[in-house]
Amino acid sequence: MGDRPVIGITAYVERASWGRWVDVPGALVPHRYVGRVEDAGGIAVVVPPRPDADDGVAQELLARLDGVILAGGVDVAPELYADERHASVQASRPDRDTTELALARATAALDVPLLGICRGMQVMAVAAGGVLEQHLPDRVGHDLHSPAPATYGNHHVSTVPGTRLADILGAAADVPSYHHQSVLTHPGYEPSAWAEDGTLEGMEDPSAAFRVAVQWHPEVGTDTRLFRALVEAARTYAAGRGAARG
Amino acid sequence: MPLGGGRRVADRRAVVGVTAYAEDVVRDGPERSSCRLVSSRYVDAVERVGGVAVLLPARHDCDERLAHQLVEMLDALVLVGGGDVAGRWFGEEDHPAIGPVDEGRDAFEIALAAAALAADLPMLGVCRGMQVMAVADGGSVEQHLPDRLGHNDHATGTVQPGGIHRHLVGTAEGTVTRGILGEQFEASCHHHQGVDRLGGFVASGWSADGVLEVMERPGPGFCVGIQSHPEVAADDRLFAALVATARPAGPTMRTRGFAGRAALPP
Repeated sequence: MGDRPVIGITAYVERASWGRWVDVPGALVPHRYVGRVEDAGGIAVVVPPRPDADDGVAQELLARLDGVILAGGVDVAPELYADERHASVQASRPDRDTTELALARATAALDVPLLGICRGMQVMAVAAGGVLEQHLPDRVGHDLHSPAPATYGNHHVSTVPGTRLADILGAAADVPSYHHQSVLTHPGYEPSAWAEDGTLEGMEDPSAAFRVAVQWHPEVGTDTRLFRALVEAARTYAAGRGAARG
Repeated sequence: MPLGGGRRVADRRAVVGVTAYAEDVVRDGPERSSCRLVSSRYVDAVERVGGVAVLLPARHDCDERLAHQLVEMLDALVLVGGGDVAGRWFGEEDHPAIGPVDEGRDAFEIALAAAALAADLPMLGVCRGMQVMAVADGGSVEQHLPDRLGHNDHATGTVQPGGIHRHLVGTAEGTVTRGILGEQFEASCHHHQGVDRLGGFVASGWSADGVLEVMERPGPGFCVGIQSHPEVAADDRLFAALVATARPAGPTMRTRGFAGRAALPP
């Protein structure tokens, strides 16, 4: 067996408390993302956001990574895709927006396997020139996608036949969900899953080796299939890169 | 031309691995959740001196091969602070005053430090990180400094900003440490353990009360352990030296390069 593929997981910088430290800034990710990657056979490294991230930084990172996960988090700044900010939009994190948009662009240019989760899917859409729905309950009239603070919803999604996502998950799945925004337009990506209320739940780039996004949280719950698919794609990518350098 | 082609070596940035804590964290809301994280101060310091930081979560199944793979991926390594190193790694019983230990993190970081030493990867160990470096090189930890010093000044104050203990450290003539930090510097520290046996390191800084404060490894690369917290003091000099010494073209040129970089010399 060759080396394990290295998966970069984007991170939060948040004020947090741990041990004897109270309310100090930390670069962090929930352990679930790391554990899922490790269980699938990958090596997880964490990519902190930085306000000055550009293509050069993204390239430096991708030179070491075989796959990327754009993790969940707060809303993408609406100024990046819309004229007005909905009152419900959370305080923006320019460092994360900048870093993750750069990674979305650079992974596309290099065809590095990419899995977008929740906010990550929205970042991918915005990076491609797409538009988000800023407050989903305004349209669907319910809050099942995010029932209460710190409470995951659980709902049904149907995959689109013939997509990569349908290959991985089959025709349908019940998924943990925690979001109040969704993707409306997504240039370059095909829809790969829908909720019963018409919310786009998955999208993917059919021309890419592995460029898959879901609106739900596969790191929550017990379904490991998306992480295993990402790590397998990353293994293939790493092998191809190894062969290219001869 | 996609990204990756034709960048000059001078444009490249060192990718610096930074070890991470495993902690139950409280963010907005009352609930604790298990996270992998590091104080932003380390990341900020690496970024201020021109590096690109990636965090390395400890994993309990780290073997020599995995540590080697991580070292090959990186241009430099920072071993950060944290809890006490368990005594078993240097053949001792745990001292009664030892804090909660995380043997998984110990094993991961010791393996990583050993692989970095073997590969001459530029490395900076901070507080616990200095102790991990010594243990990885066959050294040991003095498990409770107050037993010898008769005071606990190095661990007074809180770990909050401004509450940390400050004292002067004198450096040894002719060392890399002296060249970077001068004859003396003000240390910001919070620890009750220290390095005892140095392995292959040499002492390069002491506090007035006889605590080993800085050690370095003789040789051309950069390999320094410091018992205090330069990232808390926002003293970037060691971080700058680390990044300046980071493997010049990065391991990617040699081992993981894109096709577009293949024309550059190995």
